[in-house]
Amino acid sequence: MPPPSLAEMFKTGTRSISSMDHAKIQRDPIQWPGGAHVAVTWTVIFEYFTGLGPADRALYGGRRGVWRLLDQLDLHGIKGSFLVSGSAAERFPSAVKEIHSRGHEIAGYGYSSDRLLDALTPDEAKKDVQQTLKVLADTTGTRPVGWVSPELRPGDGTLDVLAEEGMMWNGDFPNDDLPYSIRVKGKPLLIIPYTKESDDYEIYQNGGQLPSVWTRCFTDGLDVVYEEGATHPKMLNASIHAHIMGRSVGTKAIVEAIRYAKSMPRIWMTTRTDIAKWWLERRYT
Amino acid sequence: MKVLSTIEEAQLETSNYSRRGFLKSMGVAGAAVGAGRIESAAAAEVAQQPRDRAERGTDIPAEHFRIRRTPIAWPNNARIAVCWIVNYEGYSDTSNSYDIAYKDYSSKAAVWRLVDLFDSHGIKACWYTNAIIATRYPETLRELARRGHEIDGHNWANNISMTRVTEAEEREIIKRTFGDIEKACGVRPKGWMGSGGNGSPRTLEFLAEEGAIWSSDYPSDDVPYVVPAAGKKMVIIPYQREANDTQTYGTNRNHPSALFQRFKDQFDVLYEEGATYPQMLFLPMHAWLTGHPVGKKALEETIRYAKGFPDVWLTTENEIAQWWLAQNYT
Repeated sequence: MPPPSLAEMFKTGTRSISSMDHAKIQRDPIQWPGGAHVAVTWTVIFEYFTGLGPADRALYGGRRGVWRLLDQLDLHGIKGSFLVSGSAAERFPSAVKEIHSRGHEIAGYGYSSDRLLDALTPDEAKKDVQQTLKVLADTTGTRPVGWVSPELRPGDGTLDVLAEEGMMWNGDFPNDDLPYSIRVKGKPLLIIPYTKESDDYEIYQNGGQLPSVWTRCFTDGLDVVYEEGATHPKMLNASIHAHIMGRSVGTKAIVEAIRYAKSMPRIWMTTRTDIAKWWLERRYT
Repeated sequence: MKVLSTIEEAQLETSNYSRRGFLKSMGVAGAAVGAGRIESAAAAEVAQQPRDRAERGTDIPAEHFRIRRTPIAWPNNARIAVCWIVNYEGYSDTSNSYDIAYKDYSSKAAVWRLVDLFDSHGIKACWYTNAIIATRYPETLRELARRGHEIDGHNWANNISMTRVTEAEEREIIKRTFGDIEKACGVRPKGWMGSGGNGSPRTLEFLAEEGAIWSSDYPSDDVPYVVPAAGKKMVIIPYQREANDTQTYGTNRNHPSALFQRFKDQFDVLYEEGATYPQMLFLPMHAWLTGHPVGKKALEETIRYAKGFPDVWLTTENEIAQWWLAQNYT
C-alpha cells in the first residue's frame, strides 16, 4: 500500500467517522435529573479474544472478574454499563444472564476485541454487529440498544449498520464531555462520547501504575467536573475490564472510587441508555 | 492484540521508514534511477526527490553550534520568562476513527476548559495549532484570537509527518498552515513548531518565507538564539519537553501531579540561576491530554506556583521573539 499523498492527508470531514456532523460545538448548559452536576457511568468491559489477543487472560473475566464486579456494584446500589463481546456471551452465557438479571445495562462491544471493525471488509463488519447483537439478545432475552466498537474503531459503514439495527446510542467517539445527536439514514442516533482517562487498561496494565493511581485520576477528574457542573453539567466515565482490575488487585481501588463518588451530593450514577433516554426526552441536540 | 496507541504511532514517525524501501517494494529503484518500472515522468521526478529526512541530509547548520554568553535581560529585569503552551491538534481523514475523535476532544471540550482557566489567571497561552482546526472548528480560533491568546503554527494535521515529505511538500504544509489559520481567524502566526519538533534543514527558510520570526523546533538551549534564514533573522526559542504532559504523565499514565512536580523542579533551579543570568521555562501540554478534567488541578498548580514569585515574566513566544530582536540579542 503506497503512503497517502499529501493531498489526501489534507482532507477532513470526507468520511462518516470524521463527518462535520461530529464537529458541532455545543456550549449551552444542559441539566441532569435532580439538578445533578455530573452523570457518572461505571463501565465494565467484559470482553473476549478469538484471535491472537490475550484470551487466556480474558478467561478470568468470565470465570471470576465479572462476578466480583457485579457483587461490588450491587453492594453499592450502582447499575453498571457493561460492554460485552459477542464471543464472551457465547462462552460465558451464565455470566451474561446474571448481568442482565441483576438489572445492569448490556451494550454490544463487537464479536471479539481483536476484530476491529475498521480492519474488516464492510460486509464482515456488518455481520459482526448483527451477530453480536443477536448473541446478546438470545442470551438475555433483551436486545441491546447501544454499541461501542472494540477499541473505539468503527468502520466507515458502522454507524449506518447501527442505525439499520435500531440502535439508540453509540459510544465510539471520545470527543466531548456530553452527548450529541446526529442523523444516520434519516434516524436520530445519539453519540455518547466514551472517554478513557480513567481506564484500567491504560493506567494499570499498559501504564504500569498502581490501581490507586486509577482511583486518584478518577476522583481528581470528578472534582473538576463536579465544580464545572454547577453551571455546566457534564459526564464522567470510569472503566474497568473484568479481567484486569476485576481481579482482587483492583477491588480496593474501585471501592474507594465508588465511595468517593457516593459522598458527593449531586451525582447521577447512571447508564448510557438512561443518559440517552433523558437526552431524547429533554430534546437536547 | 493491542493496536498502537496514538503516542506509539507518533513515535513511529521518527523511525526507520524510508521511501527507498517503499519504492523498492513497488519494484522501482530508490533515489538512483535505473532498473525498475518507473511508470511516468511525474513518478520519476518524485522517485528522484529524496523523501526521507535522512536522505535529505541531517546536518545542522553551523549557527546552532555557536555558544552565546552575551549578557541579556528580560523586561523589568525578570529572572525568568514563563510560557504555557497548548499543542492544539487534529488528525485528518487518513487516520482511524479513534485517533480523529480523540484529537477532536481538543476543540469540542478541552479548549474551552483551558482558555477559561488561563483567563481566570490572566495568562495568555501559546496555542501550537494544527490548521485542520481552521477547517473543522474555526470558531475556536476566532475565540482564542478574540481573547488575546497567541496562535502559532504546528503543521496542518498532526498525523502528517514532517520527516517523510519532499521539500516541495514541506513548503506546502507550512504555507497552508499559516494561510488557513489566518483565513479562519484573521491572525497570522508568527512562530512555528513542527509536529514532534520535526523538520528539515530547509524548514527555517520556508518559515521565513511565510513571515515567521521564531521556531521552537530545536530543544537545544535554555534561552533563545538567532540564526539566519532566507536572509532574515530567525529566533530559535528552544522547546522544552521535560515538563511536556505526554512525557510526564501521558505515556505511562502517571498521575498528572507529575506534570506539576517536573515543572516545579525546573522552575526552582532556573529561578535561582536567573538571579545572575535570565532564564526561560515552558509548561507544554496537549489539549487532548491535559485538557481532560483530570489534568486541570496539576495545570492550575503550575500557574499558581509561577505567579507566586516576584521577578517572573509571564509571557508568550511572540513576545519573547519580539523582545529578543528589539534588543538585538544574538
